[in-house]
Amino acid sequence: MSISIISSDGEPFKVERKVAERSVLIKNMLGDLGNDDDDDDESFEVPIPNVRGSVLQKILEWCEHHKDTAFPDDEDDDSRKSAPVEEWDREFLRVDQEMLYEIILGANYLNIRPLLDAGCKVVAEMIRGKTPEEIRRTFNIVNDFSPEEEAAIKRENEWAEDR
Amino acid sequence: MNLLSLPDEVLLLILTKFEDVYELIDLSRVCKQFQALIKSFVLVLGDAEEQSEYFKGISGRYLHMDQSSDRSEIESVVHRFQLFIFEYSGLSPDSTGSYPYLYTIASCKLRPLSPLIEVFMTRKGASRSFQQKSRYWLDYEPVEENRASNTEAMKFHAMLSQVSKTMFLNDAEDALKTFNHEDLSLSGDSSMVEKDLIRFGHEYEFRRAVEIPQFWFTKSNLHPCRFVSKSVKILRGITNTSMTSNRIPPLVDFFQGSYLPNLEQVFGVAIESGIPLSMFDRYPMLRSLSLESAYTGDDELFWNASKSVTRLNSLQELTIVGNSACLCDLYLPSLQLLSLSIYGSREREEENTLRFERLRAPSLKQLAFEFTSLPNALFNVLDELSPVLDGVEMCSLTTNSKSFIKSNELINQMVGLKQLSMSYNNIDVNDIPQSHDTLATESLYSISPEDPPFSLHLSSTIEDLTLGRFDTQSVLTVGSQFKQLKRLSITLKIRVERQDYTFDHTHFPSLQVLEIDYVNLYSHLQNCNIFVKIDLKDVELVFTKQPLPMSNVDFVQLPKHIGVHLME
Repeated sequence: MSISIISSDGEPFKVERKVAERSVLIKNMLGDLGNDDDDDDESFEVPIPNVRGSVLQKILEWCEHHKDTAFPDDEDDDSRKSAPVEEWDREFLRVDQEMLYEIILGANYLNIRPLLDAGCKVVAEMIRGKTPEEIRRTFNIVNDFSPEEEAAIKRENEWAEDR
Repeated sequence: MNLLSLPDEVLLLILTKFEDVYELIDLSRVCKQFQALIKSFVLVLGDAEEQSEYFKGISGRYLHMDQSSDRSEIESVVHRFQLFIFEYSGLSPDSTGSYPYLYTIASCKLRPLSPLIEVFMTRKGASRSFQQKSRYWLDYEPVEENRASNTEAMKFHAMLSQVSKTMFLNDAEDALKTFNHEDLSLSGDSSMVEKDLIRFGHEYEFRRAVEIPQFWFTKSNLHPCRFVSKSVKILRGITNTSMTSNRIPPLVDFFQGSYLPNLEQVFGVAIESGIPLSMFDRYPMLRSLSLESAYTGDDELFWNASKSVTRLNSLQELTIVGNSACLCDLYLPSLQLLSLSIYGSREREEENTLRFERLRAPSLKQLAFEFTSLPNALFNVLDELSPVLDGVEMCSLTTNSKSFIKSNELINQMVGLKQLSMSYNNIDVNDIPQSHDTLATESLYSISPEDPPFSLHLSSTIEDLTLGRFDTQSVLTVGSQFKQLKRLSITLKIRVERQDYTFDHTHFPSLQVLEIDYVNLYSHLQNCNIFVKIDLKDVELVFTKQPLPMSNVDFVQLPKHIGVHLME
C-alpha cells in the first residue's frame, strides 16, 4: 500500500507505508482506519494541515533514510537522551534556522520522536558555550529583563562566574 | 520565526538537554521565558530549612528533607521535576553523610539519567560524608549466604550511580584538608584522620583545593568519573576499586575526561603496560608523573603501542613501578628524572616485560633504575639513552651482577656524573625465569670467572658514591684516585679470603663522609675478616647497619668524627 501525504499547501507526496509510519501520528491514523499492509493496490491519502510542502519533503527524506533504523523505545527517555546525534542526521539538519525550527515543529506534530530529539539536540549544541548575550544575538531573542532585574540576577550569580 | 516561536513543550525538550548548572544559570539570564521553563524542571532539595541563594535563579521549588521526611511526599514532588540539586549542610547531629538523602532522591526519580547534583554547603557536611564508610561500599561479595546484602548493595550502587556531580560551596572544600596530616597535627584533631578519600565516581568540581588525597572510586554505571578544577595541582592517586570489572579503563577515561589545566603532579596511578601516555598530553603543566604499570596479558596493546610520538612538554619527573612497562615513542624535552623499578616474572620472557624504544629526553639529569629478573634491561635502557648519558649527573642502579658487566661501557659514558649508586639486587634462584637450559639462563644473571671485572672510569669526577652489595674491590681499585669524592658509602661482603681497604689522602683527597657496613652470609663459619685502614683526618666516619669491629679498623690518623647510625 502506498500513502499519499498532502502538505498544508496542497502538495502531495507519495511514499511507501513503512516510510510514512515513521510518524506515529500517521501510523495510528492508519491503524485506526483498519488498513493493513496486504493490499498492494490500495492508495491512501493523509492530509497534514500543519506542515508546508518544502518542510514535509525534508521530513519525508529523513523518514526514507531511517525507514529501517531501529530507534530506542519511545518510552526509554534515558537512552534517547544519551544517544549522540548521528552524523547523517547532523548533516541533514545543517539548514537555516527557520527550516530547522519548522522541521522540529513538523516532527513534533507528526510525532517522529527521533527526528524531534535530533533537532532539539542540534539546537542545544548551537546554544552550548555561548554567553546570554551571544545566545540572544544568535537566536534573535529580545532581552525582556529590566535593568534592575538584570543587575539583581547578575549579583545573585556572581559566584558562578568565579569557577 | 525564531527560537521562542517553538511551543513550550519543544523548548523544554531543548533546555533539558543541559545538565550543567552553570549553563542553566546562563540560559536563565537570556529571557524570562527561558528562566520560567528552567524553573519548571529544576528542583532544589536540602537538609536545611531554607534554600541557599545559589540556585534560586534556576529552581522552581525547594524541598526540605530531614531524617523523618515522608517518602510519599518527596516522591510526589520529585516526580514533577527533571534535574535535582541536593544541598547538604550536615546539620542534624546524628546525620551520617549525604548518601542516605541521595539514595532517597535517586529512588524517587522517574528516570535514572535525570541529573542529581550533590552540593556540599559546609565543611562539616563534607567531612561527615567523607567519614561515612557505607556498609554497602565494598563490592558485591559473591558468597551465597550474603545474597540478601548483596542485592541490597547492588541496589545501593544503582541509586548512587545516579549522582552525576559533586560541588563544594562556601567552606565545604576545606574538608579535604582533613586528609592532610600536617593540617591534622596542627589542629590536634585526630578523630578526623582519614588517609584516603573513598567515594562514588562521577564529576567532581573543586574550586579552591590544590591537592586531592588518594581517591578511591567505585565506577558509576551512568556517569564517568572526572575532576573539573582550575585550582588542583596535585593528585595523590586515583584508584578504581571495582572487583567486578576491569579497573584500568575508567582511569584512562578519568584522565581523558578531566579538566585540570594547572595539574602539576600525579602520583600512584595504575596503567596497563602499553597504554600510551598521550592521555596526559591534555595537561600542559604536568611536571611529575608517578605510575604503577601492570602487565594484564594484553600482548596486542603491549606490542602495538602508540605509533605516533607523544610529547609531554613540561614533564620533569617520570617514575614507573610495576611488573611490566612499555615506554615507546615519547618525546620528553624537559625530563630530568627517569625512575624505573620493574620486576620481571618467571613465567614471562624479558621482551614481554619491558619495552623501551624511541624515547627522546634531551634534558635528562637523573636516572634511577631497579630491574629484577631482567638481565638485559639495564643494557637496553642505557643503550637507548646513550645519546644523552653524558649529561646525566645522578644515577642509581640496582640489578643483577652480570647486567653491570654488560652495561659497563655505557655506565662509563656518564662522564658528567656526580652521584652514583650501584647495588646488586637480592635475586633468588626462584626469580630467574624458567628455562630448559638452566645454566645458560643463570649465566645471564651471575658473573662467571671469565667475565672481566667491572671497572669504573669516572673516579675523577664523582662526588658521591654508594656501593651496596657490589663488587667493591673492583671499583675501589688500588691506584684509582677519587679526586672529587666527598661521600663514600659502601656495604662490604664477607668472603672466605681476608679483605683490606685503605682510605688515605692520596686516593680520597676530598672525602668528608665515609659510611661502612658489611653483610656476612657465612657468620656461622667466618668472623668479620675485613680490615680497614683510615688515614684521613678530616673525614666523618659512620658505621651503618652492621659496624666493623673496632679491632679491624686501623686509625693512622683519627677522623674528625666517628658515628654509628642504626638504620633498622
